[in-house]
Amino acid sequence: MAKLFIGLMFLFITPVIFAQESLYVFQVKGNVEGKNKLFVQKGDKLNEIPSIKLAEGALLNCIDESGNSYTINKKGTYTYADILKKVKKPKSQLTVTYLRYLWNELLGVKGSTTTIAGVFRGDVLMSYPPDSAFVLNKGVRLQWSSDSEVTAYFVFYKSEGDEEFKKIETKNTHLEIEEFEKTSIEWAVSTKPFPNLKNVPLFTFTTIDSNEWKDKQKSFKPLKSDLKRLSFTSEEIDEIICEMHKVCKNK
Amino acid sequence: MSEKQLLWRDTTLCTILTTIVAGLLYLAFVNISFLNVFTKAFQDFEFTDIFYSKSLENKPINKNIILVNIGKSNREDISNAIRVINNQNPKVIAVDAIFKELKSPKSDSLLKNTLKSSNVVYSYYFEGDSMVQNHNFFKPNLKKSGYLNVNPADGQKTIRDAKLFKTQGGDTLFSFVAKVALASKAISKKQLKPEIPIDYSGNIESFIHFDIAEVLNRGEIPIMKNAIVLLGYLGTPINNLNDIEDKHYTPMNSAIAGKAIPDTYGIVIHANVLQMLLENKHLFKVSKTGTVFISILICFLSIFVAMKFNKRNPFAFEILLKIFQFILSIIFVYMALVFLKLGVLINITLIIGLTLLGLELINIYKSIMQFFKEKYQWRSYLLD
Repeated sequence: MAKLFIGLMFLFITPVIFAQESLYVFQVKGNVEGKNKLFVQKGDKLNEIPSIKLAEGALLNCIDESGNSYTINKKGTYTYADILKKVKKPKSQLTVTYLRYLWNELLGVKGSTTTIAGVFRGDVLMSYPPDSAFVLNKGVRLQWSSDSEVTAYFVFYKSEGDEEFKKIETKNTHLEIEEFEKTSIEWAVSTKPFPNLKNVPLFTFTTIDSNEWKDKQKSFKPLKSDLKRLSFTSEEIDEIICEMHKVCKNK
Repeated sequence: MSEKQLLWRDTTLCTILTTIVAGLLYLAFVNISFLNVFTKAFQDFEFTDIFYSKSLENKPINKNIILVNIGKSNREDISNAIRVINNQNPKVIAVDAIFKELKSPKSDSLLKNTLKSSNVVYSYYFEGDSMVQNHNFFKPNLKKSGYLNVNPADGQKTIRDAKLFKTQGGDTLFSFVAKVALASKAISKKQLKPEIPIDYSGNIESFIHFDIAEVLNRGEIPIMKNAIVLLGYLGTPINNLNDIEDKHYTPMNSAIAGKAIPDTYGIVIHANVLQMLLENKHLFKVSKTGTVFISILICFLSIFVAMKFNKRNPFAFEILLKIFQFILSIIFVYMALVFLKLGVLINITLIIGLTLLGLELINIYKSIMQFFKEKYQWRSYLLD
């Protein structure tokens, strides 16, 4: 009797244990940390991760075998059970969406589109150091402009002559690099983790030591004295020289 | 003849008149060159495209179909990517690219080795009657490959149907997507139909997709286990709106009619068909004869109701006719969308066209009856 009871228990409990849904990562935005502080990536299986940590502005979207969607977009730490509670089953909304579409068409609610007869060049985020600049010091602070819709930036840089780029992901709009191996550096910032680097515009800069810096400054003496007379501060003068003559004092 | 019998006779005659006028208009628009532009503008248009174009229905994502963008990668990278994917134990790896020429001995040899794997399916295409395959060096095998042709219907550019197999010289040749479905063992040859209408579940965003660089940079991609991985072109960079290489028109295009740029990459079209085959969800397409029959029947019923209304209050009929036609069109399109959701595809354009024309012709029919009445004492429900 006892054996039969155990057998029946096994029969009923086993499917319950194995029926637990497997969740797979469909989309990740920003920093989502999983096991051993490693970032969660698209295609990962979440069952094997005890808890995940979402940074500010991050988003995690998972799917299960049935195609149900699970989305978390608030900062915090979540267990696997917490994620399972965020289930969103695909709903049939044909009538509502059709009527909404008709209503919008009748009211002429259409987003205005801008048409330009030209090509777009200059999808460039990088701001400092400017392209082809000479920068004092070996370590440099790279800066770029922010994009409100982006939660993570990917900085690519390499020394001149190297084949491979180094990649750093950050949610900030600046990055300090202590020391470069060589003096001439190419760099780019992208909002995509895997951009085609052949198509991404690259900025270059060359680091110079204090002697080279002094040499270059000599040619700016007349300009500097003019700007001083116009009551520009020494910091403002450095910025102007960096912008116009591409010789920059590191920030 | 009773009033009821007169109503039935008038409805029948008005429906016949509508069908003849519609036929003549159709002939005029097809044959007269300057009117032909209208035919051309509308021949690639179907009201049911709204269903896909405006995403009226959310469909679940199938995690078992994974797309990998090969972009402009070289053969070495492609073969390395196939190797990495194969390490994840997928059911099938399908390559939507043709390697017609040899490039370099090293990369070609690597690619040849990876294409040899038992779970790899590759492709060829038909140029007229001749077959264009991978270079002989890769030892192309018809048992492991399928044709990529997705030719739309005559005069159309929108891909609405998938031709899953055809017979040539006594042999059955399978399309790329049919070959992938068969290799995954999710479907048997008997279950395949030669041609099916495509029920699009979504564009690239509706499928899990990776760039080849992501695949090459990762050791483990758990979602690929037991999945079907399709390698093809998804733009440079991925999903680049301005990149139209291997991009085609589908009902998912945001522009339902008129000039537009292609909207869907070939590999995504294959993924949509594959999803239908894996889920065994097929659309039943109402035949042309069936559509004509339904159109005439609905036209008849609409004229019947409209004639009764015309008789009761001819003034109100004149005023409300256009509103009635507008509401009827909205209801017909809605009905077609509901049927599409239920898996029945019906070309609603003819039904709407014939019904609106029928309602429009009631007054002309009335004038003709007036003429006959004066000359031959002809009786009509609308006049007596």
